[in-house]
Amino acid sequence: MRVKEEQSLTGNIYNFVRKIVLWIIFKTPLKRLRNWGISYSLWPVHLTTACCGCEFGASSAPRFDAERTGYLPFVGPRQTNLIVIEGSLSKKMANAVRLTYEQMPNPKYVIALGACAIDLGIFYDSYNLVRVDEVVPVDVYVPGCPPRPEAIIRSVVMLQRKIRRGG
Amino acid sequence: MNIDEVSRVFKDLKSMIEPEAQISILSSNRLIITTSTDKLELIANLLKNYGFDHVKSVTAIDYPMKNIIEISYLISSFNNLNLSKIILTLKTLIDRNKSISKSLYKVWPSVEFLERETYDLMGVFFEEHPENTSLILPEDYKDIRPLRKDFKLIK
Amino acid sequence: MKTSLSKQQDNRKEIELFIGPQHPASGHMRFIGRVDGDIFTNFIPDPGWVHRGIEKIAENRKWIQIIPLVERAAILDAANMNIGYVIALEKLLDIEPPPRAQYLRTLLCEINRITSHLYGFGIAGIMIGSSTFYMWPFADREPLIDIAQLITGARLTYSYMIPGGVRRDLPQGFKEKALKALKYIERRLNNDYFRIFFDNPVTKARYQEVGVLKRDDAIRLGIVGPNLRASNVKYDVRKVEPYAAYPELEFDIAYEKEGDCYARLLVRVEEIRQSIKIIRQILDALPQGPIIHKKYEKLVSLRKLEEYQKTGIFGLPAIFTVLRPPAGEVISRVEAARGELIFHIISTGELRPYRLRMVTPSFRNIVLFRELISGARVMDFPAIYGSIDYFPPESDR
Repeated sequence: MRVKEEQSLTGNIYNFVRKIVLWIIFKTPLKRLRNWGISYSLWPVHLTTACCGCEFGASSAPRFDAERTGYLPFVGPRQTNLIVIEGSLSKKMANAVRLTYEQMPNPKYVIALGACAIDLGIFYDSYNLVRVDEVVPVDVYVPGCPPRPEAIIRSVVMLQRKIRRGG
Repeated sequence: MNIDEVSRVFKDLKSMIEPEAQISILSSNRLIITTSTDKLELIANLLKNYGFDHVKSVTAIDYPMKNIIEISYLISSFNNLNLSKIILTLKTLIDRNKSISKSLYKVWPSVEFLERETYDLMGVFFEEHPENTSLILPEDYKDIRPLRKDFKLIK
Repeated sequence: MKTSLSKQQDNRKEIELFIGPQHPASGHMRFIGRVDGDIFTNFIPDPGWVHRGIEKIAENRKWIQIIPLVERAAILDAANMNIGYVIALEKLLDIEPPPRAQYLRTLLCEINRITSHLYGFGIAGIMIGSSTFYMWPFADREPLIDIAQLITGARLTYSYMIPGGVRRDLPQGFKEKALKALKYIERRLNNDYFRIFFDNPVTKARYQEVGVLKRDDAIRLGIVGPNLRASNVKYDVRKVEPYAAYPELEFDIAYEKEGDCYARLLVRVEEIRQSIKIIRQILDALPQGPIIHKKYEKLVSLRKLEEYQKTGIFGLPAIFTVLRPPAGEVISRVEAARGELIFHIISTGELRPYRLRMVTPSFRNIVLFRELISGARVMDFPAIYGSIDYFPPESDR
């Protein structure tokens, strides 16, 4: 950063304050408080990539009610911190996923649903699919084809525990 | 549908389209017409006037050994309930190296997306089709079209 | 000095508007529209975001392995995808399943049709901003998914039908549970849904006389399913070319005359009523007997046969892994929840099909987006999309 005239007298206050703020946020116990807060405000972006989306929808519906664990599907990627990859990822869609992921603010997390997201599952020799870990880093995998809504809720709870342990 | 009605339709069609095309009965509700590519539109028009008003499927089958691609239009009717019990296959063979066929968009607008898909996945170019562009595959797809037999999946 | 962006650039009134693929409703679909003011002058659907190449992969699988594969095209509607393929395969093998298996197949197909339509209602509801009508149909799917789970053991992907019959018999006490679920869904459909959604003035204002599809246009474009029947065409494969147990069952074709978005929803409501009627008939008139063709019953091992006679669960015979149907060409058509499903299969007598062509109803309805939304207002887009009940994985395959 270029040193301005007044900075030469007082030192770089901006940088100094920034360092203090970062130190406070990233050291315990404030970091713990922050992680606790994040873990109960997971807002997944609405990006349905394939057919596991049906069970994702069912998990938010009254029988299973995933929203009681503290997460709510939300519209714009700019205000979300979780992306749920629902099943297989085609080459065309992979670009869109990457674009969405890069637009999300930090910290951000990824849940990958279904066998297709792990190793392409039943479509293991398809010409138009990519594996999810080649596109975005994944925090939690959920097996199943499609996974049951209970499994999806459990994956959210697992992710929350992971965040509380320190991301 | 009983066999009498099929044979009545069969006789009507036979007198209408011969000698440009050959017709035969496969089963009690399946008919098949084979013709050449340049007669295709003519036959299609005759069939449309007879009452077949939409296309259910455009199936392209690749035969690399015989160096041909077979294109089948599955045709039926919504308006005429007697004809809707029949599925008629209109079949034509084209050269595999050139892969050019004639579009039936002017006769049946319902072929539009089916033919576009065939162009995209099998690489058959339909002349006079309003939009011969990529539909399903990425726009920059350069490889052999996937439904061709020489496109191998990695095991 | 800056003026408005569109004027400054090239004096053009129209703006290009991209919708998706990041979630226009059920996701993974893109639309490219041109907007003049708030009216779409042109609207192009751009599918292919969930294309997995099922047709090509099927050429690389054994015949029996294709059953779960074709189900993945529309896991909401798995039973109907399954029966379409199995009927085609049975035509090649030239076998006919026993009557009890036919009835059980029909039973699962109709349960699946109801759950699929309820899912469509939920999506249509959330698209016009009624979140209650997203929650209710999704909750009411669950009792029906439960009874499907009793029969097959899976929530959505059943793989229940195999060539020659079905895999499991009904469990004990099924009839009472099924009747209870049907009674519940019937009460909800006829009273609560109409009170909160279908008779709601807001819904009627959003749906009525919006996205009208005329009868001639529907036929010309080759539309299928409830969208076709909402335009006053009485075409239903279950009546035109009856399969499974449909010839012996009594039901009417649901249709409407208006062809607008509201009519498309009402057709689905009526179809659910007819499905309930069909399921009640099946539960009453279910014939006794085997659930698998005699030819295959002889082929399983003695241990498996004992298990089958005791529990009603039929283990697949080993012959299925080397199934070689005779060479030939078959076309099968069935009425899936979203419309007519076509399988066109070429066999050369090998272990794998030479070519499997699968034309799904959503793919044939894709043209509706261009025809109905061109000329509509921007805020009519969610209403029309919701009423078409389009399912992208089914369309892209």
